[in-house]
Amino acid sequence: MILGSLAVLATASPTSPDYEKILQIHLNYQNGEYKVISQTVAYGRPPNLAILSGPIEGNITDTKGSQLTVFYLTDPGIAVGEIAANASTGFLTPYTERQSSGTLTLNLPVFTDMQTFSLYNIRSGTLLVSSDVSSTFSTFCLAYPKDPDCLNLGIIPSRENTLPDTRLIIGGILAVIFVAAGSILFLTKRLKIPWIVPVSKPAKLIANSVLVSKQTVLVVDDSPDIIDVVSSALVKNGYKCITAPGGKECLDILTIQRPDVILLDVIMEPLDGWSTLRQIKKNLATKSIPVLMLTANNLTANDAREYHICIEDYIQKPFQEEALFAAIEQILERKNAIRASLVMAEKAGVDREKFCKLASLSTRVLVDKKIISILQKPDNGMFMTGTVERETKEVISEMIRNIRIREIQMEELKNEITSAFSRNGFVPPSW
Amino acid sequence: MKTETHTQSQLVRLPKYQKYIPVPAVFIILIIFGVHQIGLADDTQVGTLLVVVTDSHTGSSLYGAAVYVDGAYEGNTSGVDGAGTLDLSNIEKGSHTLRVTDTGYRPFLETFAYPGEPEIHISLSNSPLVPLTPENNNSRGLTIVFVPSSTYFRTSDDTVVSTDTYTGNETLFRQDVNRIINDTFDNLGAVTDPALPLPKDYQGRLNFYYYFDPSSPADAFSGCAGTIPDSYWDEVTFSDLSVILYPLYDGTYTNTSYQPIGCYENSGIGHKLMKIPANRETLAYHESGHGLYGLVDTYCGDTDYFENTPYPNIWSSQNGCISSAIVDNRDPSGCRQVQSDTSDADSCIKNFWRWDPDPDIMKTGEYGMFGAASTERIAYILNKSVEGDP
Repeated sequence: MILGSLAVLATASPTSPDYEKILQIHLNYQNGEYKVISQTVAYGRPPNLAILSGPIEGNITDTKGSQLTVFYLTDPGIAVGEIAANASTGFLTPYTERQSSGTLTLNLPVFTDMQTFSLYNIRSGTLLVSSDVSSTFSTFCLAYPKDPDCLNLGIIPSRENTLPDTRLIIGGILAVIFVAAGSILFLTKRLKIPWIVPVSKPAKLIANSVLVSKQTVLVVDDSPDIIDVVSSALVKNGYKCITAPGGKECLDILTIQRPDVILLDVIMEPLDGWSTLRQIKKNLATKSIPVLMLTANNLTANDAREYHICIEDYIQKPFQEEALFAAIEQILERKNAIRASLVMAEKAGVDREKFCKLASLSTRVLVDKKIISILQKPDNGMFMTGTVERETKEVISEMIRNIRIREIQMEELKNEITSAFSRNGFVPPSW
Repeated sequence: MKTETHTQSQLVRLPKYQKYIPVPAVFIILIIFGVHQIGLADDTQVGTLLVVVTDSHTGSSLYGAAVYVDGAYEGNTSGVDGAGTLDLSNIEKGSHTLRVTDTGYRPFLETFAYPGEPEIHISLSNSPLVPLTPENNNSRGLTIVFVPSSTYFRTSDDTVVSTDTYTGNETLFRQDVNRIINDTFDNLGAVTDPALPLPKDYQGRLNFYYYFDPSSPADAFSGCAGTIPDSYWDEVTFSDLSVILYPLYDGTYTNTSYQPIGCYENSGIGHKLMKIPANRETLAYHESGHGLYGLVDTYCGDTDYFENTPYPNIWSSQNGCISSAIVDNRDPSGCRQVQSDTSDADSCIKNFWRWDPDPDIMKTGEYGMFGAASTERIAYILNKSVEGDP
């Protein structure tokens, strides 16, 4: 959805709210190479993209790669001018300035679901630059959490919607204390119940949350048994745990809390795990949260084809506690390691984009390999018809082919990054 | 329908916790919970804040300024009793962003902490951006913004001269801008092919502004197309073409070291810039041909040639030019290679073809017409400019 449909010019009638925004991308270009130096979302109005033409094509795509907007540019760094007419000829004298390096600024419309910005050279068919723009809008929403587009996206909740009025809280507390005290007196005196009662779930959570938690894990499963077992295990191991009994509840929680990892069951009703995953990955605010899918052994070829790129890991039920924690730890360690390495890489002058690309490729290869091994298991799927078997084989071969391509790309990136580290006097990372 | 089942043996079972706690603990938990909630309530206390908006120049109250807190529109400053004020309620404890906008003023943006002062006083300064066309035209179309230059060029001594001709006289600048708009931008019918009429309301599709900030003017002679300070680009994000207007190009060419009289440069989207002198206004046709309509130079020389599809005025092959002419009912024999007109035609020849008859504005720069090919492209852009969602 394009933003700012209600917008008018900043200088227009002040009675109309003006929410129009631009995505401003600053690039450096040098000898045909482009590099994004900054990208921000701010209040403002973009120019008219419909009238642009030129041999450079730009586009913004969403999480599924669908084009949200396309625009064209002429080659930057060329200024075409004329020196005043020579009286004898009556013609202007051409005057051209060419700069092989410089800066380029693009003021573009903002889309809530924008993911990637890219520029291509149409003549050569080459990709000039590509950049992940998904976080720019989230960053904007940190400063303007109540902007309608931020609220619609559920990036930051409106505090007034989530926190009750002080008087209500105090009144509620007093009422609870009064009723609880009365009930307990009644029960203990009249029914002679011993001064011992089972611990209720809220009390258990409060007690556990007092423990120092490492990271927050959101467990989504419609089986109360699984929720109970997994959340207890997580809390015991020092994690902070929040739970949701279904996909809808998970999405509701994500509008007010940002867990570090989501454990998501696949088979749930009415919103199943895959649909929930789709919503999580569509939302700019939640798309970067790692998701670990939990399911029984029924991963289909279609599931693998459609969703393997979105998940961080995949764990099959029944699972052992160790396997679950190993998977969570691996995800968190990978996340932290990437963050730490990125800091080092930036110090070493390594292109951030290349480094992130390598991390992303590496995760995808890892997950793909795991999914292939699940698909290849003889007991995967209940009963495979000929068609299903053929489809599964096709998906596996496609994934293997993609893994090979990605591994080659990874090798190239590793070599480039290693050289950059060495060139700048830093010890290259051990891959 | 859920088909998955779990048996206890499939699940990870944990050691059982202590299952019971004494009843008094319930009281303690409730009390702790209550205190915790009261604490939360204190953290999120809400209150009111008065926003007072005035004009920084006159000090008078501004009625109708739009006020936003954390991105949410809170209302407009009132003229009833409030004298340019807006009372904000439900402001939560913490840090907030305040944005205030009003017609003709620079937007105000600041972060404030609440609770703090009970009133926030804001002085809005006049916006240097002045619309020249009715506001209701501005949602679509082409936006052109004029900026005055503090320099001009004198050929007698080959010098860039500083001047306050415009920066010291907004009225004169405005008059010159209006004259150029009327004589060129809004007068396309006089120089385009009459057989290919432009949209009847094309003038209404052109939205004009000027940006007058004498403290940070443009310099028409810093680089080919000149430069405008960053404050302009920060404020004017939406221009389809920015035009540096300088008062005078004094003299004519006698020396190759001379500065260009007109120039166009594309530094991105919303960053297209051209310069023209007020005393050679017809040059605006040629430069806006580049900047607004994407036309390419048809003279032979050191310039940027490319086939500017769709509706090009330059083709990268003779066949392309001929096919285009046939499709558009033009005489294909009009296709000719871009080359110099001097007796020694081979002194300059390019592998590009053109169709528009001479004198072609994209060749001469200052006189002639836009031929059928150029006119088709101009009409195409004018039509495209109002397509799509407003």
